[in-house]
Amino acid sequence: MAGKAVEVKLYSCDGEDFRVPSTVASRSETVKNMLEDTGEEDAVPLPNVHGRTLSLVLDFCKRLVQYEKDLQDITEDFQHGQLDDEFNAWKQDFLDIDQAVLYELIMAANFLNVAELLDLCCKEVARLIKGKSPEEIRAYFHIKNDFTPQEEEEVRRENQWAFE
Amino acid sequence: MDVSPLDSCPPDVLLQILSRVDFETRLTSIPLVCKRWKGLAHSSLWRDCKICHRDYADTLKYIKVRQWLERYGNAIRTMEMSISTLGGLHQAWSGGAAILLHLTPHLQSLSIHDYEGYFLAPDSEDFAAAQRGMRPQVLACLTHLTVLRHLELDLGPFTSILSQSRETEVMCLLSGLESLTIKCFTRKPPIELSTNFAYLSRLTSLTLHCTNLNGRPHKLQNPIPHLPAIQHLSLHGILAQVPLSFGDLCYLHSLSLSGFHERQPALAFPAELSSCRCLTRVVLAEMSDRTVRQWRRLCQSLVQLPALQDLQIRDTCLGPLGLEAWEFHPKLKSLTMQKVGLMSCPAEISDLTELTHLDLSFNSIAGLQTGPYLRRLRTLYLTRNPLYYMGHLADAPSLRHLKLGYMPFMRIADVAAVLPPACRIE
Repeated sequence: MAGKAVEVKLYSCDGEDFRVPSTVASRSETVKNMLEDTGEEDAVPLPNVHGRTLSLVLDFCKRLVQYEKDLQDITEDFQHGQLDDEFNAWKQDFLDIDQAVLYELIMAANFLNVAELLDLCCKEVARLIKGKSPEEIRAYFHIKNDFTPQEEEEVRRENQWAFE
Repeated sequence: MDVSPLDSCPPDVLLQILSRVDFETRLTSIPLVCKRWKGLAHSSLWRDCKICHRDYADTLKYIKVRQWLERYGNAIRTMEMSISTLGGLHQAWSGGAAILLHLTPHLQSLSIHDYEGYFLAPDSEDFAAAQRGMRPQVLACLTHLTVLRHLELDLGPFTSILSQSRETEVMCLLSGLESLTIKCFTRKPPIELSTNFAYLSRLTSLTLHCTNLNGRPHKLQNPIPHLPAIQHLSLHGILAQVPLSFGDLCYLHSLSLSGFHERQPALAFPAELSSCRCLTRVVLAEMSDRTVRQWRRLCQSLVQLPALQDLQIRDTCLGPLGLEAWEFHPKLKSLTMQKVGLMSCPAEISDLTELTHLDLSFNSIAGLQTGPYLRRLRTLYLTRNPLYYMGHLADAPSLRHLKLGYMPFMRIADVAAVLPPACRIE
C-alpha cells in the first residue's frame, strides 16, 4: 500500500511545531493514545517537552521506523546483522550529545513513553556509571552525599563482604 | 554545586538506569552513593541477574555470591546461570548451583547453561567423572520455585534430568511452566520425560534436543502426550517410537522435527494434522531413510495444512525417490530446501505464486525453473550450486537479494546483467 502517510502536528512547550508521519509519532505511546482520543487532524500539544529535545526524539523515532521497515522487507535473517550494525552506528552518533541533553532526552522518552529510546539513553548513563567508585559517581553526576559519616561507615560495613 | 539531573529524575527512571549497570558496580558502589540510591539498591534493583560459573568457582567467590543472594535473592525474578562440567558435574551442580538457587525462591524465569560440557571429549577423564553414577536430578532441585514460568536447561552429559524421586513435586513444578527447553545428551534415553509431559497443560513452547553420547537420536517407548496449549514445538533426536499424536493441537504455530531415529517408523503425518489451523511453519531436518521412503505421503499431508506459509527441509539426502514426488502447498511464502541433494529445481515450484523467499543452497542445480513463482520473489539463495544458466531471473522484478557464492561455470557479471537494479548480489 503506497498511500500517502497521514501527517500529524506536534507542539512543544516553547511553541515549536513539528509535522511528522503518524507512523513516526505513534512510536510514542503517549502521543499514540492522544491521537486515538482526539483524531489525527488536531495538533497534539506536548507541554513537558522542549522543542530541541522533541526534535531529537522524533529523529530517533524516524530512524527506528525505518529500521523496522527494513527488517520487514527482508524475509529471512540474512541481512539482520547488517541492519543492526547500521542502526547501532547511527545510535552511537546520536548519543554524541551533552550530558544535560541526555537527561532531557531521558525525561522526554519517559514522558512520551518511547521504550527503545529510554533503553538506549539509560544504557548510556549506566555506561558512565560503570566501574566508578561511590566518590567518583558523586563527583561525576553532582550528587550530594547525604549520609552522615556514621551512616556511611555503617553502609560500608554492611557491604564489606562485597569488597573482599 | 548545581543540582544533579539524576536527583531530579523520578524513581522509576533512576531504577531503569541503575538496573543497566554492571554487576560489580551495582554491588560495590551504588549503595554507597546516597540514601536514595541505597534504598533502590535494597529493593528492586535485582530483578534480573546473571551468574557465571567463574563467579562462584572458588570458595571465596562462592561465599560472596552466596552472601549477595542471601540479601537480594528474594527480589530476583529472572536468572541466567552457567555451570561447568569440568572437574565433575556433580560438584558443579550440587556443590554450588543447586544451593544458590535455594536463595531465589521467586524466580519466574531460569536458564541454566553448561557451555563447557559440550567440549568434553567422550573418552576424557572429565567426561567419565561427569558420567560415573551421578544423577544430579536437576529438576528435583528446582521444586521450591513455585512461580517459575520459563525454564531452559542447556546441559552437557547428564545421565538423567528427570528422576523418579520426588515425582509429585516435579510434576507440580512442570505443571506451572509456560515454556520449557531441554538440551542435553544422555547415556540412556530420558524415558521419564515422556511420562512427565502429561502434566504440561499450560506449556506454549517446548524444545527438546536430547541425543545419546554420540549425537544419535534416542528411541522412546512412549509417545509425547497431549499438549493442549502448545504453540511452538521443536524436537531433535528424541522422536517417540509411537508416532506423535497431532490431534487437537489447534494452537500449534511452528513445528520443527529433526534428528530422526533410523528405526523410527515413517513419519506419517496423520490425517488430523489438518486440524492444526494455525500451523504456519514446518521444519524437517536430518530425516531417516525410512521417512524419506514415505516422502510422497509426507508431502501430501503437508499440503493439507490450512495455514502453512514456511516450509524448510534441511540436511537430508532425499535421493531419486524424493525428486519425483514433490508436491507443494500452494500458499507457501517461504521455501527452504538446503542440502537435500536436488539435481534440478523441482518443476512444481513454478506454481507457487505467493513465494517471496527461496533457498536452494548446497544442492546440484544447474539453473532455475521458469514460471510465475519468480514474480514476487524477494530473496533467493543458491549458494554452492553448479549454476550454468540464470537467464530466467529476468522474470523476477521484485528480487532484492541474491546469494550465489562460488560459481565454477558462470561469471557474476552475466547474472547481474539480467537482474533488477535494486538487487544485491553476494
